[in-house]
Amino acid sequence: MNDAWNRMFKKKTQKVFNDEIDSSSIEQDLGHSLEDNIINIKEALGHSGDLIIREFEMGKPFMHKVATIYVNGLTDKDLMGNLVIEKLMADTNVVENEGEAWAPSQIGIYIKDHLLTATHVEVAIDLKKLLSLLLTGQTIVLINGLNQAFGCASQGGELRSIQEPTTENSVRGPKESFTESLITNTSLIRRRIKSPNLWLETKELGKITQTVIGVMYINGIANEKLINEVRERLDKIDVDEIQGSNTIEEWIADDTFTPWPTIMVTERPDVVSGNLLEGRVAIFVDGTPIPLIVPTTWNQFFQTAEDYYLRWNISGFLRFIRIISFLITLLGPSLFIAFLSFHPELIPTPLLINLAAQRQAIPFPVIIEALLMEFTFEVLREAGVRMPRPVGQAVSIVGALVLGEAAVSAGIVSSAMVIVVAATAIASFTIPHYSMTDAVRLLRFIMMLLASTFGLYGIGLGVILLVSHTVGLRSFGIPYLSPFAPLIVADQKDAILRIPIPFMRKRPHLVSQKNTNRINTKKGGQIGEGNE
Amino acid sequence: MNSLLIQRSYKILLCVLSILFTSGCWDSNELQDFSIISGIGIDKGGDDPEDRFRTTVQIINPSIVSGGQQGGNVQSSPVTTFSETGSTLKEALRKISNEAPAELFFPHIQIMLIGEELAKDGMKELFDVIERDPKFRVLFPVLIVKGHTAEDALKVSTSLRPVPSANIEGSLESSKEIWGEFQSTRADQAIMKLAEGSVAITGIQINGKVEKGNQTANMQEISQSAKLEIKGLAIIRDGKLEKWLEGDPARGVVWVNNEMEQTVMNLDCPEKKDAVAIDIGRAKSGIKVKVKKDKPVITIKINAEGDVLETHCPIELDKDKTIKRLENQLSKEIKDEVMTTIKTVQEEKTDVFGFGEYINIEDKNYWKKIKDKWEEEIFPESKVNVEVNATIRRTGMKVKSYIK
Amino acid sequence: MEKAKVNGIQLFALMFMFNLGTAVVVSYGIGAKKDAWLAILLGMSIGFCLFFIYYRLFCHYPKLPITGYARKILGNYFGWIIGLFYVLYFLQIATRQVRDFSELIVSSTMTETPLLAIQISFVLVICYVLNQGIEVLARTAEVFIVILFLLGAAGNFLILVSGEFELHNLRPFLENGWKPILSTAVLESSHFPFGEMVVFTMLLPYLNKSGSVKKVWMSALLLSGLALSWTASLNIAVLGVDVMERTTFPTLATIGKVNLLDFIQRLDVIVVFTMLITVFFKGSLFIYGAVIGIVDLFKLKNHQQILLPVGGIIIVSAMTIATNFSGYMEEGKEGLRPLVFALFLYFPVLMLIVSTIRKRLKQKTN
Repeated sequence: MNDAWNRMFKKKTQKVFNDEIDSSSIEQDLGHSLEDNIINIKEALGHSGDLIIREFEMGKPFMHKVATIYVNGLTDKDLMGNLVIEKLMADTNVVENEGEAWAPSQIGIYIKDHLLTATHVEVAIDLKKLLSLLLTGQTIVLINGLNQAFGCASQGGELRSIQEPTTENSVRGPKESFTESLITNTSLIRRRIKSPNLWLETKELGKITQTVIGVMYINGIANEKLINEVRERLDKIDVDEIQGSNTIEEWIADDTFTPWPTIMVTERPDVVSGNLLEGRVAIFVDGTPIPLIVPTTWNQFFQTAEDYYLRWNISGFLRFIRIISFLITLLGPSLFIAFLSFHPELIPTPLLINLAAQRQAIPFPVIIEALLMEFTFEVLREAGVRMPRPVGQAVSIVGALVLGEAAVSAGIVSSAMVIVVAATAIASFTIPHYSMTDAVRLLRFIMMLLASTFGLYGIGLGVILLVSHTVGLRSFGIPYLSPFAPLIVADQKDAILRIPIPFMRKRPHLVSQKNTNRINTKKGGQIGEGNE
Repeated sequence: MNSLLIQRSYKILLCVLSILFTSGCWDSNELQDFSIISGIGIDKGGDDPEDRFRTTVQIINPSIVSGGQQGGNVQSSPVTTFSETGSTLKEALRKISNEAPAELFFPHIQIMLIGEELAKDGMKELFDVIERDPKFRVLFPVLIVKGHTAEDALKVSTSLRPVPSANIEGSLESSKEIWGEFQSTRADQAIMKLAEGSVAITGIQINGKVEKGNQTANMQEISQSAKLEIKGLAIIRDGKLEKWLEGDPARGVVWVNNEMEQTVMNLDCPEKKDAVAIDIGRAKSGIKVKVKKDKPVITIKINAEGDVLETHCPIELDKDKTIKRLENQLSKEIKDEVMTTIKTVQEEKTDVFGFGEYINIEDKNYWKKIKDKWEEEIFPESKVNVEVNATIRRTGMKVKSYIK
Repeated sequence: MEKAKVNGIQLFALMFMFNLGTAVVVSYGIGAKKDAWLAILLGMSIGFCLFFIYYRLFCHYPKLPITGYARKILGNYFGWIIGLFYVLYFLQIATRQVRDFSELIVSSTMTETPLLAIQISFVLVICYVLNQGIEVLARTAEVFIVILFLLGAAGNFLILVSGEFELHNLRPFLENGWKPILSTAVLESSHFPFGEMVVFTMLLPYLNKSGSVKKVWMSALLLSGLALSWTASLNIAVLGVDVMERTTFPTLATIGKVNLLDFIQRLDVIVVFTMLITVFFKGSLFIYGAVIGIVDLFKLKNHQQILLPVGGIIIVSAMTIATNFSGYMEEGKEGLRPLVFALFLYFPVLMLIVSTIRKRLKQKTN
């Protein structure tokens, strides 16, 4: 199925772009003439307005024609000015080669080794490499008569600063979140884990977007097989564009036909570092402030960073509440439908009389009413997200209260149904990770259909189906439902409840597999010297 | 790949089939399509087998009961009754559908009333449908209507709880818990006991003008013209009503069955009779049987504990002597009450207490021998001992009375 | 045969829920009247003896299911026929499970639904789960045994607290002497459900640690026997022997009596769900046993191919094996007896004897 998708994607994008990109022009090498090179570069970029070219002469004793090229907005102009242009224009006291004229290649070597004080200089021989350097924000130095170009590190431009997380707030923990720049993100991790074993592998994916992907893991804790698997799956991606971490997620995920998310996303550095220390692998995508973490298990989606900053008893209680809310949001409307339509004898009598009184005036059967309300709520939710912020608050309050009230008074829905739907929605907000909430939203509808057909028996069947489906899932080799099935007793310490930190001695078994000791109280060694 | 395809075809198959089934979800019902029955009454019909039973159902009108959204239409009655005759209960119930607006819904029946006439004729067979039909749940109490038909009793409107069946059930519960005179027999308990032999079922009667009861005006009056009262304990033997017990003999049954929770016993003063009221707060009784010389000897041990909470004579409640004297009186009172009950029951040759089972537990071989003769011959002649241990703990908020 | 591995806890969960099966809901062991609990315990001890037979056979042939070593022990032709008998037996019992369950649902809560609807949905779900392999079934069992324990604990707790439990309903002990107890134990309790554990001989080759078979099987047997015995006693204590004899689903009636605070009432749901879970696993295991047997006997590639057709057979036969419930129960109690005894007792004993003799002979010749 992946191949079919692959084929569909490839054909489309190739059709659109292939004709316009004239690959032949890019493949050529640089010539010797400065003018020609400049013309080639200009043409390759279609005379883009943000391409700034400055031709000038070097200072004494060279007095040679050179040019600097950069893309406006991608570079730090001050850096460029100080490190490149100023150094080139200044007069130097060079004693070598006295008397003789400088050959362009010698000039090139001298510039590269002595004049360019940029932190990083790369040499480009062909146009393709030059353009890629140019487009990552480096300043290109061209020398007349030399068929090489130098790219100097001068990346800059406007980037978003490190701000507070928007979706994963914490009261007591750090308040940093990732940004769009890969280097900033990885630096946030490095600040937390100052170990030399924290390794980063980068590659570029996406033929046109040339997005940089970073894979981070801790050598010695992360499983070799896992790292290889991640590398393999990333290498298989052969597309034109990488739009964000979601694209990567869908490419490398295990089984795309499941409602459950099998890869976790987060925007907090402390979550990532915590997972890395358990032996997981993080995948950063340049341009997206949300990295991926693999492998994941089901219970991780119910854990927040906050759990580790609060005391163990309250965090255990909160996790328990989250799981109960999950059950409410999954089964709430279906149980309501089942009891009301199929098993009214199982409802206590006073409650039944109240419900019957409410339903006297309603023209719809229960299932239609439930679907109507759920659907309305989904529409409200989507509208609330898309609304511009100042208007958003008012709409949600108006929508919920007025609509609900009016609908009940008009006799279209019953108050009990409104309560059930509202409770379901509120319960769904307790799930910390959005991808899991989405999964539940879809599953809820299936459960409602089953309940409306077979009542409680239908719900029972649905639960069995869901559990057996989930139990067979794997996320990068780890069974999705561990540590519940297969039951790993040692891992239960952090699964639902969280026991106090001094008692959490081992890392999750299946993920780390070797090196499972967190605490080396006796040995006092480094990471990597734990038990196998 | 192959298994993935098969797996997907399973899912599709499931989806398709569930769509098929949605077109006729057989058991799905809407609540508004139900007439919720709160009480059911069975009377004797005619002599014709066609009309053997007359069944009455009391149906709740939910919007009136729960406060409604129409702003409370007080004129409309919270319940409605329908009656029909038939040779079996099921037949009569289905005939009612000609009159009732929706399908009858049985699981929330709160009370079952049996007319006295029918009880005298024999009511053993009535409970089979309740056991067998899954739509009936067996936990509701059963009462026998004294002096009137069940149909009439179900028509009486009540004020404090708008649904009369709930009202009856409530009075039964509180009577059992607070006054202790009558016990609550659930349908399943009745069935168990009917299968074995005799049973005691509480009665209910209508006080006042029965015709006035059949109106909502009745429940708007401050002192209602027609009221329902839990009264009397019916002794049923072989499914037939034999005798009514009332007052203290009825209470004796509750003592023996270990169902007494709270009650009031009156003791004599030197000057006045029945002038000191003891609030019994705890009571426990146990039955033991021994077989001596081929005859069963039944011993009933009763423990009761109470406080003096009302007195009409100036007795000295601050003295231990007085209290001890009162305790002895109390024990004697309870013992007399229980003995009267036992005598009455023995005269009627009905073992409503299930002493037979105790004999069985004690000596099963002996029981096998006498099982068939137990109620008729042996029980009336058996010796029953009653031992009462009564304790008076406190005298309330005051010690001596203000009465001089 | 799949390359799947099942660990000890999963096997325990499967066995435990299998044994509870329908026995936890119907009037089980009532032939012994008030001493049903004793009859069940005796049946459990017979189950232990049976276990030893199966275990010995397993030790002789640790990698083969019973259809496999039947052929090895008794020769290819005769063993093949015996294997076929086993497959047919598994199919028959699987059919009965499906029919039992749909009867329960229809007679207690959903009275208008046709049996076919319930049977089709039930069998389809089983097929879906089995299609993914025994590992998925085992892991699902791990999850559900926790749920089952919770349901059972809640149910038992509520019944005990409700005050309906009357110990004297269980007395006098041995009211009718030992005869009914022994006859019930030998004729009923031994084969239902303990004798039916013969289906696990098809599964034992999958266990990842062969050494733990003994521990797992015995603890599951013990625990389920105790659970069943306790349930039967609970039912008798709450309902009384007379009522329990006459009721089709006594546990349902027992839980129906719970009424706490006038609010916690009508808890039939607990029992219905319990039965759904236990019968689901029992049915799955029998169907799986039949399918594996067919794969083994007919040398098929994998079990997925034959799964749906077997499901279809089960559905059709579930509809046709009996036209009314009373005849169906009679058939289950008396009609099947000779066949069932042969399969779980006579054949394994025969095979064990032959196999032991063969081994002795081999040792002598070596």
